[in-house]
Amino acid sequence: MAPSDLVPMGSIADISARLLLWSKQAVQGLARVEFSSEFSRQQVLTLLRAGLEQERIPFAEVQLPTYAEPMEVVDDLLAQLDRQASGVVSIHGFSTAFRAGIPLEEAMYALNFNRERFAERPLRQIWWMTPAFYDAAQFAMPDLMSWFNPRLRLTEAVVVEPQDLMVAESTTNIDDVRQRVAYLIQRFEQGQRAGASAADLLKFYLLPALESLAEVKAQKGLQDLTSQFEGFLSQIPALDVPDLATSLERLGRLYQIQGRYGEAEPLVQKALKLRLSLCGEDHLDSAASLNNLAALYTLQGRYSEAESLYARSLKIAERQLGVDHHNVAKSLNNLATLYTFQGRYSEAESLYIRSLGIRERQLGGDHSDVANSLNNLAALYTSQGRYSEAEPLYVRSLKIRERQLGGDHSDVAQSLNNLADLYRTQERYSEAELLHVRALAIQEQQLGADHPDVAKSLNNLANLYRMQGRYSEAEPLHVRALAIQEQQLGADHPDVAKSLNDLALLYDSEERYNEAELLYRQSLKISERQLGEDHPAVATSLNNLGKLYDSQGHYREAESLYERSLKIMENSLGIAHPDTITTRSNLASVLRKMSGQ
Amino acid sequence: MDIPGPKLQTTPATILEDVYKTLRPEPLQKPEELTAFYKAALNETRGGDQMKRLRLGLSRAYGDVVPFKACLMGHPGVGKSTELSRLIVEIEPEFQTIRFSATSVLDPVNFRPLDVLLIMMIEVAEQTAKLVGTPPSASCLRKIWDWFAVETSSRTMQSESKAGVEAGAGVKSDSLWAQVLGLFANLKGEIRFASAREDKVVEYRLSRLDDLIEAVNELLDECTRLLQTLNRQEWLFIGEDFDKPRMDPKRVSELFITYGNIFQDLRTHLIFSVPIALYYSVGASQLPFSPSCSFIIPDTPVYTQDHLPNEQGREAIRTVLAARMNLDLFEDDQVTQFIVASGGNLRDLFTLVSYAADSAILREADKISANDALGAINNLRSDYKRRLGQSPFSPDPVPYSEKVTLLQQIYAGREDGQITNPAMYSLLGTRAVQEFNGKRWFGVHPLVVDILKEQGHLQEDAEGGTL
Repeated sequence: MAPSDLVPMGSIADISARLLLWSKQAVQGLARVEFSSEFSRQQVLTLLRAGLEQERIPFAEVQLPTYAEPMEVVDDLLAQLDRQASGVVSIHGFSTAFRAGIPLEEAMYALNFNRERFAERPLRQIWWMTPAFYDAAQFAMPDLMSWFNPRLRLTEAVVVEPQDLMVAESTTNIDDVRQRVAYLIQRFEQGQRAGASAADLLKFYLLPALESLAEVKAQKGLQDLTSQFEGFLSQIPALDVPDLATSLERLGRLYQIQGRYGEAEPLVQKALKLRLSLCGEDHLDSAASLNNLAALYTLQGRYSEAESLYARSLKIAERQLGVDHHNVAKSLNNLATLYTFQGRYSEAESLYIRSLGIRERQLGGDHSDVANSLNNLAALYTSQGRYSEAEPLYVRSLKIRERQLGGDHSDVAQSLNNLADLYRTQERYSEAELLHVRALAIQEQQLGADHPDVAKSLNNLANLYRMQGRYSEAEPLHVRALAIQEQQLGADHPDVAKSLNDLALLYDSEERYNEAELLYRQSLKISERQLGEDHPAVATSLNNLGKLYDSQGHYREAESLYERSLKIMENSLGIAHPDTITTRSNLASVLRKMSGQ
Repeated sequence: MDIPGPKLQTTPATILEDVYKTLRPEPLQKPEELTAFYKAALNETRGGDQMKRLRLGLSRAYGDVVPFKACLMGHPGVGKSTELSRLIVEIEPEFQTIRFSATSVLDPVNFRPLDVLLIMMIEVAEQTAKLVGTPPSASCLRKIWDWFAVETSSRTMQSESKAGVEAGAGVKSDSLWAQVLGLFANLKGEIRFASAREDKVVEYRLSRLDDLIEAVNELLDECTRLLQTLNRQEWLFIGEDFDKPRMDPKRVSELFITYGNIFQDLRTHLIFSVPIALYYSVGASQLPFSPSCSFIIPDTPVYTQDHLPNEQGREAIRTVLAARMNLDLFEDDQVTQFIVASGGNLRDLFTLVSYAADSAILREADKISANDALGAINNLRSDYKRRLGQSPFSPDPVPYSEKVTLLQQIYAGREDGQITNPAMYSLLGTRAVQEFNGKRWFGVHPLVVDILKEQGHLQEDAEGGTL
């Protein structure tokens, strides 16, 4: 182990070294480690396990049950501890151990009250706590908390790629939308001929038409229609109409959806200015505008500006509606999403949990907003690698959506996809397949066969088949997905880049290297252009291309691609992210091969 | 039960690898531990030895008809339990002590005053039987049995509780004593899991409280007689941890104020820990302990009220630490750094030094360096910062802004900052504010001074923080 002077406090190396030292010193006792990143936690455990193995100290991991009654959790933990005669036990899963609806204080009380029964075991126990759990525990179970020694904090941050957080989607069929848009444009033209004001034309015809397309993610149609009315739209910001703010925001959002952030920004800013001057700072409409601008800044990666706007918006909402209002829950949710993007998982978790609590209290445990919160929290846990905690949340979210929206709603399909993706990550392929197939059927039925979400589902299923070696089943799905995306989103969309990458992976697996290389390069080009050269998606493409060269024996080319990929990943995802580790190991392997030549 | 961990080593650590064996955070309890580590210097810096006063009161009451009843107060970590352990050793010739922790034997949220009385009754009966070899007389036991017998039809025992219930003294025969032991075992379980008890049982019992006090007093008289005959000792009850944050303040107030007569009416010596917030509240005049029998153990100051170094306090803490480890294990004058950062609180001091010792071991050094100290202080400061937040469970939450204002007033030594209120209780409970003796003054913990400076609530050059 490296001397601790060189090891930053709270780093993976520091915490694993301290735990190892403690394991050697004591034969019995409780250690507490606060952590945010599951990836970092796993790294600590890997190092600790290796150290303990050298010392011949037995090691076991205990995962607590999920959403159980407090005494069931206590009994389960005791039973699992009893299975170990000695050594070190790592205990994990406190934040999802207790059934929703039980006040956390009461649940922690059960732990606190049974502390002697835990502590009397001849074991060294490591209790892993998330910051949200820790914050509550210090007030709810101070006796037990005072028994922990050492008390450590794993702070090494691992930043991961922003997750696609699922929000409620439209159930509108894409073909119906096309008809509606044609009708609205017809009315627009009629109105224009009749001398209607620009503000009204925008408000009643053009915006609804554009929004309908946006709602079904018909990106290409949206882009085409926006271009068609470019001249008309460019006059809008100059209009001097008092109630223009809403239209400006709607238009801004539409530009935003198309990735035209530069054009969206002045619209959203002007909307905010109008709102502030008309309603004042302490008005809910101003809060909404602040929120919208913050969302735009978030997409632009201007996180600190976004944070201060979200915070202002949240404060107004809390002042005007009280801290327990469901609109406050929405603001909390948005801020949590921002924190997730920044990798500030602990802060995100605590806000998501607060938001979820408000929604459960105000809307009941069976509301679709609650399902959204559960889904977002599950996505956060998934991005932290806390898969076992994510699963019950996804399941609960799915059940609520099925009950509230019906079994064939597109939100249900999203939940099925999310859960299937989680199962795929855990290599539970057969469970994943069933869910993907069901999701795809719902989406085709509800959204139309050409909807971009259908393309995503086709890709998901194809990736699953590839992982199982079912190549011939995978290819037609990929090809169909790609065709839908190029048609609906345009050939230069980041989703197309992702699909190209996925198809290349399939060709790579089939040793169709030339075809794979072509697609990897195409994907890389789109990602670099659309997302910037330092985006994790670019790093993924570089790594995959490197692997392709590697497997063909072109080590020099592979080395340079791996190096570039690794640099991006270390900067954007952190050194402990699984993708970073994979690339690092790829690089090491190719260097070994080169030195052996 | 002791805090889990290695056995306390009673000789000073001479190498870093042994520091964890001597810097254990639990109170000193055994005579050999007290001999090795207890230092009188600490009490001298905080206004005298309160145990001497307790001992004096107890010795006056020994053999007298009027029992000694006192309460002991102090903020978390000042060493109340250690002081009581010392007292128990010193008074052993005259007193046999029954010591219990409220957080272990009671349900901290749902307990009722009667539970404390029942615990005392059970303990004195069982321990007398164990010491003397024979149980209390049948007439005494019959009264207790009858008191509970009349409620059997109205009470429903919780049968679903999955936690274990301690067995009684294991007498197998079907005697009255055996039956009473069975009742006691059930009661202990019921008291620990009071949330499962029906309200009507509690109310029914409280309506007959006077009868029970009478029955318990008869039991106490008899048990005292038996003990005096055996070895000329008298029973002393020490009830601790009623001031722990987990104990529901409403229940504690109900015990000591609404049902304070229990303590007044019982014919036995007793010392109970009472939350200091209760002592400063408007209800304090109704506490069952007279002001002359109410004792406070204050914190040990490392600064004066004017934020100048308090050399006497620092030296006393240095003496305590030197008894546990060789101070040459610190580089330069790092010891002072730790002493100041601990704010004079021994539990914090041991946490800090243990963490730093581990850091030094991990970098394969044989002394604790300035960097090790800094790491440990940062780690503990982070705990303090988190505790300054608002409890999600507090029925009367105090916002941080209010706490900051009060902390600023206390730091400035303003008179209005010395008034005890919910914000002050909250800060005292988390040790952000400390109480010192002499003319009785409050001070801000050095780590909290650091936090306030960092947040711009105190000036950058404000004294009184860590070094």
